[in-house]
Amino acid sequence: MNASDGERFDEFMASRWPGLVRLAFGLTGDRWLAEDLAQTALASAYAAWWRVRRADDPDAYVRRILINASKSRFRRNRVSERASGPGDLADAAVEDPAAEVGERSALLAALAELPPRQRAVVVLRYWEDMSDAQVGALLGCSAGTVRSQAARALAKLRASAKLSESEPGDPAPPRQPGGAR
Amino acid sequence: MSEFDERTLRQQLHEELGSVEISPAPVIAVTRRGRAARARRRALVGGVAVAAAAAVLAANFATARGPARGTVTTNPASTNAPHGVFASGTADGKPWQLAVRNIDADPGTPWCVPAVMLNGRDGDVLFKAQNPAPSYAPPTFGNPAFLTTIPGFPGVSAVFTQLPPRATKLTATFLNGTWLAVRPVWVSACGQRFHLAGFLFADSRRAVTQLISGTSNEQFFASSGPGGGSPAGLWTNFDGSRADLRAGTSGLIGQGTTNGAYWTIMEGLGLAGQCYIVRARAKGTAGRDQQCLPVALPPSVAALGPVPFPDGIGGLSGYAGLVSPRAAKVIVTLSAAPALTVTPVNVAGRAYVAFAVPPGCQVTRMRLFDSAGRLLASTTKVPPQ
Repeated sequence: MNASDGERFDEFMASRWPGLVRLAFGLTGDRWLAEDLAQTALASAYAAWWRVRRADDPDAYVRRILINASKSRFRRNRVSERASGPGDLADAAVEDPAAEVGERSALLAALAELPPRQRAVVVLRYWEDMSDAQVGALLGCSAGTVRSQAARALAKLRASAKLSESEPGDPAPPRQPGGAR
Repeated sequence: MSEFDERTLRQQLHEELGSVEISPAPVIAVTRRGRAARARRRALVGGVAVAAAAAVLAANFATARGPARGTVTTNPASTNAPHGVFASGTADGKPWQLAVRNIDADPGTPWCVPAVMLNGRDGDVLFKAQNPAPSYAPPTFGNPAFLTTIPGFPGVSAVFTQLPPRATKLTATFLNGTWLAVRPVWVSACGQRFHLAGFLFADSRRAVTQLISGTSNEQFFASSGPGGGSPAGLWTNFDGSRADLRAGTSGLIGQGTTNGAYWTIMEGLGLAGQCYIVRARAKGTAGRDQQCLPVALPPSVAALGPVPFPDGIGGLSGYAGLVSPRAAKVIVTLSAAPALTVTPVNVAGRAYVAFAVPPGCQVTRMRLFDSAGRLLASTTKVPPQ
């Protein structure tokens, strides 16, 4: 990568970073993981920059990397969850850390209950304002599947106990000022 | 919730995600990861082209010229885990060890934080496996940690994971079709027992595609490796222990007002390494920045580094890091401003200091004193901003 390519990448990264972190945060509900996923996507874009900058839609290219990285994480986690038997290890009750750090709203908590694909559909459709065809292209499914997944996700969100505890339109809980806790 | 329709969802999602505070783009970290990924890709492409020739050359010359780059051996596991070592071997002829160490304060204090360290550095905090898994996360077992950029071991990666008590082996399969099996070892640390297995592997095997732990009759599937490289010394974790980490090993280590800017520095010891989070505000503007570094043992004197302050807020720079647990006071001499007196803050047994430096100033000396006021150490070796 020569100097001008490097500058172009720096500009690209600076302008896309906030959007990618927010998208990843919507997909994961976890700030640190979101930043890591955004970094992963942009690092991959850097490694294949000659291809990214020639792509018809570089943003879609990077978003796809991010979504694939997020899906891989879910796939890994799902396998792990299924594989571990209840008798394997000592019991220990752990509170949801979201309540503790105050970084996740009722909406994000409800989103976390959705299967990964439905969650991705919700975030891409309602946060990124993508069409069903665009969402389908990113997720590797048809527009019809996107619509049905969106309908199921909405139904689950309506029924979610997490959302029933807060009124629609409630603002997110305040974040920790200054970090002292 | 009948009123929860598409419009409401869109509105709430925009409020929620739109209000997320975004840290500055980590250009250096991303380009470093990108370069590492590109180098690996090129190495793979080159490797395919010359594979046949290389195989012949390796067969002819490997023994005569010593181990080839990326040659890794793994010793049979020692079940009594001497000094917490649960895996060892050589990489490019250099010995490696994965061991559980207490990364906390002096032995004898009530504090103890176990971490897996590679050759005594680059720690990864270890937490007792949780089962049943919390609803938000998978159990610790089956969520291995990967170190893909190892200082001093180019072309080599590391993996370790906790295994269920019944498991008797961990088998890894690699993208190039090879495989490796190692035995898990019980290690006691900080009053807990961990069932661990790990190994190093040459990047020529490409990536771990699957880890399987189990017995001769049963198999417990675990996960595959990360897609990209990670910053040097920082493990990539697929672990569900964040609640413990945040509750137990995070804390405010410095705050103050410098040049009209109010600032705080938090530390967080966890799955992302040893992180320092800087928040600052002045004249109606506010910002946040953070830096994560490899996890290290407490230093005998001090191990401080520059931490990034948000741009445009007072023009400040800062330092944060660990000092000897015996230090009760640190005096920082600045080139063009009065000296700072900093009291180390103990967070879960690790002694931290953090301070801000006004614009145009450099740290010229640091002196550490014990609780009786005796000088413990003095150093001028403070890395520049």
